[in-house]
Amino acid sequence: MKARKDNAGVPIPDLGPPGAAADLYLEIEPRGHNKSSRLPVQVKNLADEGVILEAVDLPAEFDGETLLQQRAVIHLAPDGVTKETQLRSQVVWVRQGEGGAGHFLLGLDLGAADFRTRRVLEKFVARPKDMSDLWTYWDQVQPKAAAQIAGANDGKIIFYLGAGVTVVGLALKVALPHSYDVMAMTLTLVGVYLIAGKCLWNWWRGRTVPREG
Amino acid sequence: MRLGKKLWSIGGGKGGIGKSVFTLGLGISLSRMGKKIILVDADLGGANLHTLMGVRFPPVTLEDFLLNRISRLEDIVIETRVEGIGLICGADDILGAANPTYNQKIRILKQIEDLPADLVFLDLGAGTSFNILDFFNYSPGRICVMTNQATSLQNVYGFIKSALYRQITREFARDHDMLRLVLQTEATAPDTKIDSVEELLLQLPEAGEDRLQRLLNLLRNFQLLLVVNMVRETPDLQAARIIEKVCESFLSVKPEILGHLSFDPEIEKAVNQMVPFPLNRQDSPAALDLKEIALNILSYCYGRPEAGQDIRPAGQFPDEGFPNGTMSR
Repeated sequence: MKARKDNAGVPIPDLGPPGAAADLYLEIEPRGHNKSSRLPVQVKNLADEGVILEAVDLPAEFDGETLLQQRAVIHLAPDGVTKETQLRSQVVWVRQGEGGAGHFLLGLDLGAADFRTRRVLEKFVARPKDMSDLWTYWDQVQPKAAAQIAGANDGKIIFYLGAGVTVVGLALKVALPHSYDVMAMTLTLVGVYLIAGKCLWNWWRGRTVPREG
Repeated sequence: MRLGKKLWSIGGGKGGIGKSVFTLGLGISLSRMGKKIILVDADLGGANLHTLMGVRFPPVTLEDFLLNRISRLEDIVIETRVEGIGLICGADDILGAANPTYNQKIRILKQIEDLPADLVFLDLGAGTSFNILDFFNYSPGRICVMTNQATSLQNVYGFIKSALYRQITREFARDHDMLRLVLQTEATAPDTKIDSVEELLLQLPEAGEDRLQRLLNLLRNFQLLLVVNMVRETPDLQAARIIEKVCESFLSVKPEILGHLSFDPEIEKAVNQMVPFPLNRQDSPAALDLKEIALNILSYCYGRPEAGQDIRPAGQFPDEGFPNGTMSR
């Protein structure tokens, strides 16, 4: 690991080019004529408008305060689905970690980061593997949202169809001669039965759907 | 799994999932099968099993025993309206009863074994305090009640994990090297963190064959059963499968699924009327489920019932639903 002086005269460690295993690193943008430097970090947590990174194994003499207000780029390695992601940010606070010298927590402002950015970062949050697996299983057994939406649309269609058939039946009853009464009444009844049947179905489903909360 | 058991604990970590209702219902179902049952409300500080039994003002409670006002546990068993069921009422959180000392706990547990009953059920409170975990771990029969809610899954897994690690730390209480390894399960640094009991086991040969054997024995004896409560439809049962899989992967223990309790509005009515469920409601869905579970409990205690009596339907807990190869550790 080499070190350089920033324009405040304090060394900032530089990892050099990240190795193949580096999924995530923080690149501190250069100030003045200095080169950029790279820090090994992990995503500790996501905050409202930014992200909290954890830097470990920095040189014991490293002064974290030198990072304050520095512009930085978070580099996320491709995960097989997305390409390499670079997130522009600014270090807004620095705190000494519980691990003692060389361990820092960095608060970074992500500016106008969107929902997608947060989802990408979420994948890098250090989490217990057992709970992670538990939630993955949980997600797998949940009913698909799309299927629920499709089901809801089917329900609406049946209501509209029932109402339409009923209105048509009633209209025919009024508009056509009495010889068409049977047909008109049949249509009206079919429409009413459709609506009633759908209401009953919804009531029954409501009893069997798991409670929320 | 064959367990020679008299004492059973019913836990689950989360409050409001029906542990007490289940304990009472199971007790009633077993008493109908001719067994003498004693229910112990071990939810110290939040006791209400007596209320579910229609007892508003218990004459004696565990507090009388803990404070040595009554010396024998047997003497605080109260008779109930349900024939064959005795009840030891829990203590309120006054005079520190919710936090019995170690000696008090041992005194309770030793005397529980001598209670005049075929089966004794301990209804534990919510949470993962050492008191609750110690009662749970001490019992040869352990049942975890859960629902299909995400929060219940989270809590029941946390409960099982806490109970297991509590058991390990007690077993190796004087073994500092072993305790250091256990502490690594809480580590945050990826290079030192131990993510599972299996990883812990892999570290043990270096620490000595004796330790490895002791831990393997502990894991073998750490048997527990799962009950899914408030089931409304078949997919709800997957909750138990998830816990089963995660426990097997990360804790090296394999809980067995004891059964489920259907969501039944009759239970809420019974609770509000202070009538013990399933008394007078023997044909309700939940009452039938309790009967199945009671039969399964008997089979764990005394061996399988006669052919045709094992009424847990095949495929009740479908194993499908997890796409193959999607999980990795």
